[in-house]
Amino acid sequence: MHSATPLPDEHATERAPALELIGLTKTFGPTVAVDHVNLTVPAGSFFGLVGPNGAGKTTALSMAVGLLRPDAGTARTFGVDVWGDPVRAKELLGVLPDGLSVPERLTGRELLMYLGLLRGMDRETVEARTQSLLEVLGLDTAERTLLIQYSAGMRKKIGLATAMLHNPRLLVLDEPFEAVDPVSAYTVRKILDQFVASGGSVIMSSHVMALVEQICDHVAIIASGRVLATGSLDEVRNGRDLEAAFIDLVGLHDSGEGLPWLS
Amino acid sequence: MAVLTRTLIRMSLATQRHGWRGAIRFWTVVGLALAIGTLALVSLDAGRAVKTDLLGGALTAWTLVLALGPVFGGGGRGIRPEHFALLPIPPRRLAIGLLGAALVGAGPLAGLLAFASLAVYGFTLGAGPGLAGIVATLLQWLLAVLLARLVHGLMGAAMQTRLGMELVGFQFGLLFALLSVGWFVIQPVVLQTHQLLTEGWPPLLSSLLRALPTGWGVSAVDAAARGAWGVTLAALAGLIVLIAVLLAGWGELLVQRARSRSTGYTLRSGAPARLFRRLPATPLGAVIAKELLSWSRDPWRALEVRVAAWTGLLVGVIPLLIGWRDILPFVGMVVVVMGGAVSANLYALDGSALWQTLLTPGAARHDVRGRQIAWLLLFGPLALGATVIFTALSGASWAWPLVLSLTLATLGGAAGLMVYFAVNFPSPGVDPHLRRNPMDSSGETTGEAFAMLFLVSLTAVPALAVVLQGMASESAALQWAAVPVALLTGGLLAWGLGRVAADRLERTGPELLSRLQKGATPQAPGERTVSVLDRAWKALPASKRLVVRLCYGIAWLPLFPQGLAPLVFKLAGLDVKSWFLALYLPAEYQWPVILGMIALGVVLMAIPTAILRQAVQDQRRRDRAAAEQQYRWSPENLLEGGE
Repeated sequence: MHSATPLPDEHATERAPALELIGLTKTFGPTVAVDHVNLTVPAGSFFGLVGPNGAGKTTALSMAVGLLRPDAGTARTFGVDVWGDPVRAKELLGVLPDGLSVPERLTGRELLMYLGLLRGMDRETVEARTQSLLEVLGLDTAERTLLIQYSAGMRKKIGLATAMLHNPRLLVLDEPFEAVDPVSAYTVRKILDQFVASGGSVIMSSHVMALVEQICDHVAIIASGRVLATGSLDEVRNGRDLEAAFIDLVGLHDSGEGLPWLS
Repeated sequence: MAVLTRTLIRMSLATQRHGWRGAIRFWTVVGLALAIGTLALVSLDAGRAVKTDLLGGALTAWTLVLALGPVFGGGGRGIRPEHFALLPIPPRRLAIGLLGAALVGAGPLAGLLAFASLAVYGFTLGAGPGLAGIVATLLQWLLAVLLARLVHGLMGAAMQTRLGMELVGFQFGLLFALLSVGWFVIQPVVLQTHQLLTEGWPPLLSSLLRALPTGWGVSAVDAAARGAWGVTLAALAGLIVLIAVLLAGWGELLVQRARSRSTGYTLRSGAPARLFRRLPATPLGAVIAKELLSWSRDPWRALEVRVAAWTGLLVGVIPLLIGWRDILPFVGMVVVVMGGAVSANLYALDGSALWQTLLTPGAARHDVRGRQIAWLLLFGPLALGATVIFTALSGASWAWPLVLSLTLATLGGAAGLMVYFAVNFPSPGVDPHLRRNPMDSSGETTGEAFAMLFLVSLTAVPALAVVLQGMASESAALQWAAVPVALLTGGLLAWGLGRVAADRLERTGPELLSRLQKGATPQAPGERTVSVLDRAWKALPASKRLVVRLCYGIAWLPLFPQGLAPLVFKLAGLDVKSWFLALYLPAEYQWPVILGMIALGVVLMAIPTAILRQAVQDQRRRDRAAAEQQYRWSPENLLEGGE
């Protein structure tokens, strides 16, 4: 018999995985976007979620953080049920979603001030963290630029800043490196590495295998809404490189001919 | 060229099929009914000059409605020019293709039917005028639809600059003011319906209507009937040239639009994030700062404030043209009512940015309250200032307790109702970070805006009752007692409705986010994201649907123009009968008829509401039963049951 949801006392929270997805399911009409996904992100890991376009990565992550209500299943972060005790869970999570709006008529600094104060942080802390985040991410030169005028890469960076502002214990990042230039990507990697080294946990989705292979220590491969493989990087790779493992699992959609007219 | 146009028409049809929902259907029915009414003008028993006059007036109105339709009706729906930004299509060809795509749709269809009155009218006058009528029908129709695209594009372009936005705000204010009090000015004409049917419009108006391009079609038919073929040809050729010029202009606009982004105005100066440093360093203070900045920097929101302000001002000023000063003190209240109506879609305007509120613990409550407070900080001083200034200017010292209490009561009522509507009935446009044209910010909100106008006005009733009682008993103290009453009702409504909205946002935030994210994106048929109301509606028998449509369709007639409007006029002691049935009756019947009309209106609203409520409850029951059935028979359960 299964036990009920464990009480999130401090001790349990320490031992529990950073994120657990338990039987998460979401259906849109006839399409099963996420199909009974079970996944465990160990505390202190840098977890990569890879899969082809439309695999259900964004849908699964949205349900994991409380933005999309699952049809079935639930998600726990450090033992706290995201849908049962959302207030506590949201304190632990820092989220960067993909392709959503922000209050577009604020500047980057204003957005961080807004979110910091909205979280009940005191003004000095918010100001200090805002300043350092803007400096580190190279956004402090855009004081007069509204978010709607930001480039795609700048949007990712300010999104990352909002995710980290309240010093969460788990970062949930949807395609954090997309459209980010190489220099900024290097900075972001360093920040994330440092975050994990100091005890934080990260789960990020991506379809760039090489990147995941370089920076993640755990991976899951997801396709058609199902988890095909999950575990430490070496377990999943099983002697091959990640791309080969991915293609073995997902299957190559090979039409054979290529594009003969493209010359 | 033909291939492109055909493809775009097919795309347009496909997107519209996916977006074919309740409100659009409703307005289609209304549009078709009005079109048939326009056609019926042809069969009036009146002379040719009179008919030409009437048709000219009606078709001018149609052109206006069609031209402004996309601005009010969520122009972001369907095909947008930027979809083709990367395709090597010359602008004029794209313009022609997009015009083709714009021609298919419910509004243009109703328009074509209405403009067909030109052809029908022509054939009643002979074969030649009939042929001229067919050509005129098509040209006037093209002109109207093309104007609509141009207005939508031009307003979007104008809104990129502050001056342009101010001008657009003024235009809308003028339009709404004319719609609400313009009839004072044209009332003498309307009252002489008989004269209108025998003599047509006053000569000046008549020549104006024929001289404008919107009247060239009807002039062409009329001239053909007189045998003045030169005039006919000139009028039709004029339309063709005008259409060609507008088409070229629109093509140019499309090129510019493809290159620009909807950024609005850049920031001028000021210390970074100053407002966040000035307001209290609390969650509520943060939301207020975010909202105030959005109100001043988001072109659409800034436009809404200006529309409310201009409408209020012009509603007071236009009647001055006929020497009527009594509306002046009410300018502030009109600003509040309009301000509430234009702010009832706030969550949809901010689109998927809601995710940040959802992921911040306890933020839903602060967000709702902060939006209310920011709205009050914005519209409160504006409305109270207008009330004080214009009441003083009007010299109507009797009006002070009345207008002060009405303004205060509606301020609170609107602050409550707007968040309630914003959370419960969002109508999203294009998601903020994808917007190119500020005019695409909102979905179609006509129904919500009308409901807000009515409900916000209604929140003034308790204060109004106290003032009227005071006036009747000639007690100044009682009249002034309305001010605390207004503060009380306003405060209660703002607090209570805000609380209801916050509760709902907290409970169903993810669902609201899904709705906002889908936004103007049409959904594929069969997607199970249809709301319970939509499914309940589909399950209703046709007879009940007809009852619901009819009741909602006509309820406003007894409620507003035949009930509340004469009520206000009678209370204010104005001697204006207009088309208010009750005011034509002997004095002793007036009150019963007015109250009866209001009661009838309320009943007509209540009947379909009750039917829909019941239908939704039934649907929920069916859903639950279906879910239980599924649960009981799922393979996993069978396995577990076997253990």
